[in-house]
Amino acid sequence: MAYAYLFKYIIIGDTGVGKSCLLLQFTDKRFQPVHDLTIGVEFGARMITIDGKQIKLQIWDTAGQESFRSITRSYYRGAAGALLVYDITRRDTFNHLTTWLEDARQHSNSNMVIMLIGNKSDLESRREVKKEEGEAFAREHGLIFMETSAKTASNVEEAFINTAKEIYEKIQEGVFDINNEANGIKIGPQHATTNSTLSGSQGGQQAGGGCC
Amino acid sequence: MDKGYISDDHIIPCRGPHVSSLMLSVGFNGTQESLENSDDDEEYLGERAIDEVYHLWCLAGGDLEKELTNKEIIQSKPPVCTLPNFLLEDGESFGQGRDRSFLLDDTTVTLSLCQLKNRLKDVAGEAYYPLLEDEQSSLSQSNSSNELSCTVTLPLIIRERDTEYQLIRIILFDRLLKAYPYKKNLVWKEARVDIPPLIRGLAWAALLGVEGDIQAKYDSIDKDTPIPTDRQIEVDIPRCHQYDELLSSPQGHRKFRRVLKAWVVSHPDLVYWQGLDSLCAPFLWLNFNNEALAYACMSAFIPKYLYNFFLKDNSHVIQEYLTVFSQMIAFHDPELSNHLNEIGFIPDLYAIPWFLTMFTHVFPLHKIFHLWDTLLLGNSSFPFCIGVAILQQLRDRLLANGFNECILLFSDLPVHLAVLLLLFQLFCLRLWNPDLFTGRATCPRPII
Repeated sequence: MAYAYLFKYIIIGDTGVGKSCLLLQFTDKRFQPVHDLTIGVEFGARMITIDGKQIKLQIWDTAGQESFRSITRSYYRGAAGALLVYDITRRDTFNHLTTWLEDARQHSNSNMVIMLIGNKSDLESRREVKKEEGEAFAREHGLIFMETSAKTASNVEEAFINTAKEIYEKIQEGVFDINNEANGIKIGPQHATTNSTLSGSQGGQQAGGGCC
Repeated sequence: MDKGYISDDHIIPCRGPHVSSLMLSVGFNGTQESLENSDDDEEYLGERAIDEVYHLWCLAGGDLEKELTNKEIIQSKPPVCTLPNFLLEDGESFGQGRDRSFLLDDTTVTLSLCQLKNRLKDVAGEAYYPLLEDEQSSLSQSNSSNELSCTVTLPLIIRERDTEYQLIRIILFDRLLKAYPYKKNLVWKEARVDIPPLIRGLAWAALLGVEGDIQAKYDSIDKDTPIPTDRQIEVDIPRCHQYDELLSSPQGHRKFRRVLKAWVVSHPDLVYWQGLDSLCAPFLWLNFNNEALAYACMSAFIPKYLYNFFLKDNSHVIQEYLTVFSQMIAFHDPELSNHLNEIGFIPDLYAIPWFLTMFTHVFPLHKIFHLWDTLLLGNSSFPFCIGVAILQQLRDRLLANGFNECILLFSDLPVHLAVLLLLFQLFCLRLWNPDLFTGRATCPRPII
């Protein structure tokens, strides 16, 4: 399908916080209470519209276990956006955010937009991390923040789309060099300003997220 | 990744009867029926173990649930009548009595062996006592019926449902396994033909070379003291092959936890990586009532096929493995290899779950069983062949597509592959494959 831009996202965070469920809710609009664990990386894709433009999101869903960190690091390269997820019912997943953030900052490009997500907001009775704490952490580290529930779909669309909006704005401001694919953005065949022909679209993917 | 959460007909009936019927004692009786050679049959069948007879009885068309329904022991209620009257937020329910089928019922139900006997009436008495010592006696000769030798050429799925064929195979394997390790070579030889599902757990153990007092070893491992890995195991088990009734049962979870902990505790130089749970699943399923054997099989499997994969820092091992795999693709299919490299679809993005779990993370159990029946006959380079075989199956679609389509294709497609086709490919590739090419530097020694 034709698109104006392709953004590469990466979802990171501790094991069992609901990364794959967020992705499934976003791409398939469904919730699977028992989701297979992720080994290495899995993928999802969806088209969204921002400012009248079709934008394709290519989402890399990574393994959360500590051991996989060395493998996961190679997936950061070329990501335009990252969803950093913790579980509001498990404080340890919140405490680990700093190391995740260090990892993300160190292995991605400096303009990557990071969205902090407190997932499982439907489990209010088991909450261990206050919403204010999430907000404070996001403020301190310059992240966007949102609480979501992959189960009820609350804020899931918003989380993915707001991140895309932020990236889109950065493109408009000229912060992102869209011709450098290491930034995780690719111009699609639909984009009016490029002179590439339609047949160039497949070729354009060659360097896309692929070499990461 | 979707693993085909459908109850596939290929799934072999588990060794035990259905959970609801475990509460009952079930007996067999064939005396009411007078068949021509019923006396002989009964004598021979009577020599076999009850789980064998039950397995064959099922293959011959027996349906325990139907029998119990006919006896009105299982009574189906309309689903609307099973709803509780009151439900709390945490899932506790009120106003609904416990289902009768979960309670102990010591009624004895006698099942008729008539159908099974009728099915086996042409099997000669000698078939129950095959000669093993005579090197010349092959399967076809040891049995008077020529039909059986024809059966060998039928597809695996059909063979696994053929009552006579399974009877002969089970008897043969049973005798060979009782003489293990003395008859090890013959076990290998017969396993190349096929492995009867009923015997699979023990046959795999023999192929993996499990020996010694495994129960004592397993018992001596401390599986109770909390360890740091506990939490991870706790999170992973409820996500591992949960479409299966055994593995999703509370008892299944408890066994899972014990076997995994036993492995972690007894391998201090290695660590628990996510994926180890999937790797444990086929062994646990096959040896559900013998945790020690499940543990012993897993412990024997890992050094053979996943040497050093579970080191704390395994990045070198994985990188090396994936590099060899890339070379294999390039060797067998340069065109596909070039295409995949061009679009950046490298093994790092899709093959880690394949190899780290030996495909147990990407296939449902009934497919894993057939895949591993073959894998266990080979050395540590067999997994590469399976990987290349999968790529070969998807070749046209991979060549026609770019990066985005390929990654999505791999998110759910490999699980729909017909395993038989895959195995066929596996053998083809194997014939082609020069052994030295796949030799892994980290492997301590050639296995076969």
